[in-house]
Amino acid sequence: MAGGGDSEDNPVAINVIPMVDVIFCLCVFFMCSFKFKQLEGKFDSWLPKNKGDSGAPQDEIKEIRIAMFWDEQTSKVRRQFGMRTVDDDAQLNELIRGSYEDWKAKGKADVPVIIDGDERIPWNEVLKIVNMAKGLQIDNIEFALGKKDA
Amino acid sequence: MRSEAPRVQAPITPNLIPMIDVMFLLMLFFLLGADMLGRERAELVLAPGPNARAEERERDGETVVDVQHRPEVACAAHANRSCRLAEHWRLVVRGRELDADALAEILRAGDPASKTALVRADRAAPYGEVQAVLATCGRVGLAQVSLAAERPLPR
Repeated sequence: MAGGGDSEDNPVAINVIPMVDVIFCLCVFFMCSFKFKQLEGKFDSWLPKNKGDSGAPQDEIKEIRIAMFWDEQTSKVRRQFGMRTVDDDAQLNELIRGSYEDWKAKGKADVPVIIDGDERIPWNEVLKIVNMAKGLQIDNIEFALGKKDA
Repeated sequence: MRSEAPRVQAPITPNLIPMIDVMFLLMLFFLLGADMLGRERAELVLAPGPNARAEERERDGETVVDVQHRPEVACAAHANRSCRLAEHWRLVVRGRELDADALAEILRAGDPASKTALVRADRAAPYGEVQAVLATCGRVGLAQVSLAAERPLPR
C-alpha cells in the first residue's frame, strides 16, 4: 500500500506568500514609527510665600546661593558660589555639600539653595544645580526671579 | 524483469510557518510599543536629572506646562541648543499654546493651594522662559511646582 501523498490530500493549497508580504509591510511601518521614549522624572520644589524683593538683607543671610551669569562673548555660563567662580561640577558639588553641612551643624538644616540665574542661561544648567542639590538631600530649593516678572 | 523506477526526491521547499510566527511576534511587539495616540505633552528633550524621582501618573489637579521651541520655526541656533530668542519659545498646556495671562487663568481655576504644576522645559530653553512660568505660578498662589527631568535608564 502506498503511503499518503501530501499534495493529493490537500487539493486547496493556501498561498502564504502575499500574507508574508503584508506582514513585512506592517513590520516595516511599525519599525519606522517606533520611538524610544525618554524616562521622565521630577524634582519637587515649593514656591516660597511672603518672599520677594525684601530690600535690606537680614543680619545673617541663611541661604546657599549659586549665581549664574551668561557670558555673551564666549556663550558660556559662569557660575559663582559666593565670591568664587566655579567651573567644575564636582567642585561646585563639594562647595554646596560643605556649606550645607556647616548650616546643618548650626541646626539650620532647612537652609535653602537659591539659584540666581541670568534669564539667558540654558535650562539645562539650572537643572544641573537642582540635581546636585537633590543628590545632597537638600529639599529646599528656591529660584530667585529676575526683575522682569511675567 | 521489471526494475523499479528510481525514486525521485521531492523538491525541497522552505517551511514558511516558523518565519510567519516570528513575523507575527515582531509585529505584535511593535504594535504594542507604537504610540499612535496624540499626547497632551509636547515633544521636547528634557534636561538630564539622575537624582529625579520616578514620575508617577499625573496627579489630580496637576497642570503640565511645556516650554517648547516652536516646531514650525527652523532655527539653526536651536539645532545647536543655543536659541535665545524669546519669540521662538512658547508655553504649551494640553496641546494649546498660551501666554502668561492665559496660563494664570488656568492655574487660578479652582483652588490654587491644592493644585500643582509640572514644568517640562526643553533643556536648551532660556531660563527666562521657565522663570516666567514660575513667576506666574507664584503669582496665582500655587504652592508646589515640579520640574521634569530625564531619568537615566535603570541598570
